[in-house]
Amino acid sequence: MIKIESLEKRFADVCAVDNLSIELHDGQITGLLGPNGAGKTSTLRMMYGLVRPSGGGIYVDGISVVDEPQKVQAQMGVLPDDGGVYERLSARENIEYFGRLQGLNESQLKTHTDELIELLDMHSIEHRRTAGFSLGERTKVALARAIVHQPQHILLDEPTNGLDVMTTRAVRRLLLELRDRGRCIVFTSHLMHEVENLCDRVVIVAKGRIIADGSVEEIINQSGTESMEEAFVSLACEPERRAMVETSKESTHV
Amino acid sequence: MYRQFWVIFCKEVLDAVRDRKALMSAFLLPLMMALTTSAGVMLVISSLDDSEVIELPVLGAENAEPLIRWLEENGIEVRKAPIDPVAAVNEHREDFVLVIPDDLSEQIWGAEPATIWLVMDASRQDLMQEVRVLKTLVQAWSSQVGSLRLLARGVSPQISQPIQIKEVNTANSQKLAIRVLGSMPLVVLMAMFAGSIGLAADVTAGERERRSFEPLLINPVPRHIVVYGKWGATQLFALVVTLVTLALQLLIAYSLPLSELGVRFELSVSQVLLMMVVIVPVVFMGSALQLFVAIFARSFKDAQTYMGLLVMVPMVPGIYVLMNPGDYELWQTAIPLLGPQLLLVDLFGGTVPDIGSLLLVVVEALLLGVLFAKLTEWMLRREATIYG
Repeated sequence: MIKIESLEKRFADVCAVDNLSIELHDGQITGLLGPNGAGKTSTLRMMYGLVRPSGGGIYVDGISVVDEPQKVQAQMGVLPDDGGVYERLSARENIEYFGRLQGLNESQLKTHTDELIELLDMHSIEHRRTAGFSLGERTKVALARAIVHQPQHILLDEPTNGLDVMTTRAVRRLLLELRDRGRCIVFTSHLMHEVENLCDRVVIVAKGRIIADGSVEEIINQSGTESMEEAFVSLACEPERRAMVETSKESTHV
Repeated sequence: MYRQFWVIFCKEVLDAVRDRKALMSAFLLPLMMALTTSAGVMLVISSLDDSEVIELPVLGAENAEPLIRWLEENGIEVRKAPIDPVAAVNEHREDFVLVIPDDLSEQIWGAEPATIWLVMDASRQDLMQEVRVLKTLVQAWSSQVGSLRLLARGVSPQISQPIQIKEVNTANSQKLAIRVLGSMPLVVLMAMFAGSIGLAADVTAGERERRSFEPLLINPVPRHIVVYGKWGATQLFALVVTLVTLALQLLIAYSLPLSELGVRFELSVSQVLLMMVVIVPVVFMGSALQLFVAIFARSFKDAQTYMGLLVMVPMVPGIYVLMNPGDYELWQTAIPLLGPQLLLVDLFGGTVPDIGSLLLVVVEALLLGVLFAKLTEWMLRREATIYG
């Protein structure tokens, strides 16, 4: 379980995250939704301990990220939004490198790696060096190395961005499988269908604050709209921008 | 912690070994430097037996047989010249031509001032040495003739020579050879800096460029362990390249016919070991310095530019050492990179440096190494380094 208490992050005069509090539960997939610049990525970075909050705290199973980042990182698997893989190492070596850094012994490493290669359908690229991999193949490697130590908490920053259908399905299958094993999964996205298909809980963030929180149906009901996309637009966008969207919709109707 | 260090170290070494191009360029420099040094020594040796025969085309040799005989006695090979000396020199058919006029012997017997011509191209610097030899020989003969004339008139020849210059040539080949050998420490240190450039840039700026620092640091590894792992791999590379360079340089010193120059080059095992005692801490420091400089760069290319300049760093003290061979003061050994080179010059030359300077150089390099590693760690803690 991840507990965030009055989290704040300011860069110079910009407030990226503004007094954000939330609890993220095990056995659930939580989608963090928000327009660009809403503070999703900043929140995630603070959760995995690479960026220091300006205020507030984050506790992972009761351990403070600020005070003991490495203890938290050992129970966390993270797919950052833009993380390179090592091009002169094979897919398997990339995964094993991170597994060893997480302290797995060689037999654990082998079982876990084999399992992930199976789940993500990576047999054909397992022993190839990652230079020249497609975006989907890279993402699979990055995802596998992020969770090779079977962490309880999994944070993913736009995991299916730019992936083809097959890869997206493989990633989705893996996340559902992990949820059923009782993991706490958080991911950010701005793909509505992705959120609808996958999330048990949706949290909409705008300007560093939570503006809606609940299941997909709850959010749709709360906004009085008919689809997730409309709900998102009505909740997350500023009034004037919302008006603009409405107008354009009307004009297409006419 | 130790295990994590080992994991990072092994990964960086594997990654670097697979980078064939970088690997080749790392070892290319020591080889090139070895070739340069041996070429330098060979050049000195070949300039030594410079008793090369000067060939002199002469027009009108029959007009001054005593002079021709004098020249031949002094090792000049006289042969017949073409009849158009100026054209021959202009068209590079001949380097120079000595022209003796028909009436020379009459003028000489008549004790009149006589003239002979040396046709040459003064813009050809490469011939100046030979021209000088010829001029000196002709002048020597001329003054002999003059002396004979004075003697014939009952005057001592010395009266016409108020001052005599005698040359004492100190630029002997031995000194030249020592100068070439004296560049060896600089060669070794430069190879050290050049050898690990690729690796040091790849493990710092390369990670920044690939944006792989973020996923790497999400693993529960303390930042100093990350730095030490990368530092260790850089040191290994720098050390291997340095040792290859040192071995090549020593091999050259042994295999070249230095005894022809009267230079005795002998090294004992303990001297080689002492060289290692000086070199290893410098590798320790130099690698940390490289990491620290490279981590400022946002891309691999930038890092290579910065570090290309870093290779020049040991050159400044290196050139000082070359210009001022011989004794040094203790305070000079305290200057980073100058100290080690002074001690290495000593060791190459067969002198064992005193324990005080040795300790100073070693301890200082170790401390600076730790300082640069800590500074690199500090850079790695900055969010701007991870996300910049």
